[in-house]
Amino acid sequence: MTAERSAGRGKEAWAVTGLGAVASLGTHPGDLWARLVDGATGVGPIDLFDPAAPAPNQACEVRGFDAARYLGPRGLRGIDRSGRLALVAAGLALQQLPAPLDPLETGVVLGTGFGSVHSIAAFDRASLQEGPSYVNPADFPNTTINAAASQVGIRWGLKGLNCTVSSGFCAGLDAFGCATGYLEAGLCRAALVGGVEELCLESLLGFFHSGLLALPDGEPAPARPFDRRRRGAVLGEGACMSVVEPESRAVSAGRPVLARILAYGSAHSGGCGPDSRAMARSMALALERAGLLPRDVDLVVAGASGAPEGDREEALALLKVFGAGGGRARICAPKGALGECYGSAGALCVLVAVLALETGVVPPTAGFEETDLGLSRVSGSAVTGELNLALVHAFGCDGRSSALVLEASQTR
Amino acid sequence: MDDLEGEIRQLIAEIVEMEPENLSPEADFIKDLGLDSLRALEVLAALERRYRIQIPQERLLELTSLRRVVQVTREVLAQAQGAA
Repeated sequence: MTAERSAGRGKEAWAVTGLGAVASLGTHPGDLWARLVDGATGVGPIDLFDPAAPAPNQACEVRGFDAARYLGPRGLRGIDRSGRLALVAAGLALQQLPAPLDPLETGVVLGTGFGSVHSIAAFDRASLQEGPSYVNPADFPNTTINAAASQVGIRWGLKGLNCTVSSGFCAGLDAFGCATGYLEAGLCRAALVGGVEELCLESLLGFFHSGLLALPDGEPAPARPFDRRRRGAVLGEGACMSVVEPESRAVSAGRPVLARILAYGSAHSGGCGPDSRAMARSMALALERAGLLPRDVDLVVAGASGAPEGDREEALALLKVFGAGGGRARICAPKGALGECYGSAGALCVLVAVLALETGVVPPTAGFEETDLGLSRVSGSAVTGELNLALVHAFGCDGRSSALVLEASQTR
Repeated sequence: MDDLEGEIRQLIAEIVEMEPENLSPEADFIKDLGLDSLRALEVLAALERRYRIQIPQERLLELTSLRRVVQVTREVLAQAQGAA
């Protein structure tokens, strides 16, 4: 580590010390990672509901998800799918810690795009069909976007600040930006940070009619991030939570550091649509704040989903920041395997970065074979190598872009 | 046990996450079953929806056990039928 590289950092790096995830590829970071590296995808026909044609009958669904298996049969009534996904991911992250956190000083920062648009729709439907006097008051809390974050605080007894970040496609990554800011400001001493998004008919129809989703030719097929044959995203769902705390605190408490968070950056185009210039600004800002140069980065975990325009803009931004061909960094786009998980996508991409830095393996980009976007180092198959620095990028069709820089643990 | 009591037992058991046969008619919702204020309101809303009645606010505090709920519901139903 050169003095020049560490010069731009804050006083302390933030350590990721716990990981929990529920996604179509697996309910456990270890299972999910093994299948991701193996080249598996979570895409398949939808079991949860019947998507009315012409909407696509394919998604990266958490099939057979049963929260009671992890949380016990009682206390789940009135908690919707978003809440349950978040509770299980949070529980897995906390259970991984060899030494527990102090609940009084531990916050929750959760990203979500919709909260549960399904719960909101169901509440409205009951009000219209049964009459406003007959709605179930217990269904009302689920119509708030911070329901899942609150449930995590209640269930796991976390009494520090409790905050929901709703910034669309970037929410799961922006949660890390907010949380590290809160930690820096001393508002909490540790935080459970991540994102959640559930699959439901309402969001499938919304994304479909917005023109974001690929239509299968017959059998469900994964999206093709960065590939010349990309035709749209496949909707996904899941929750992913990380325990984030000051590195010195983790070390003194005996919680092993899985990876270090160095810096976050974010930008907006000021207009609509994915925008390579805003993306390049957020990436450059995160690198500058980390005191790094683009050539220091070994791995980019990209937000490309297979949507033609968004992938093109992200590729342009990578070419702009990292140079011809995308520079020396390997590029992996997990949405090929996990689907477009919207508000939880950024948090799942952080998990991919942490596990890649820990294991030295870049997972394949499912569905990717050949690109027309000028990127020469997109991972078509798993690649092993020395990985020290990773940049995670998320962007949305609302002009937003966020980036997070992570470094491998020094004690691995 | 008549139909009304059976129905209400089922409805409350679901809300308090118990098997209906384990729900004692005398068990106090708050002290014995750990019902919180939101779940208590859920019981009320479920009764109103099921029987298309409005239970007056002043009677809320009476809804402390299965037996009391059945009694109040019966009275409100009778009043509603008498008024119709």
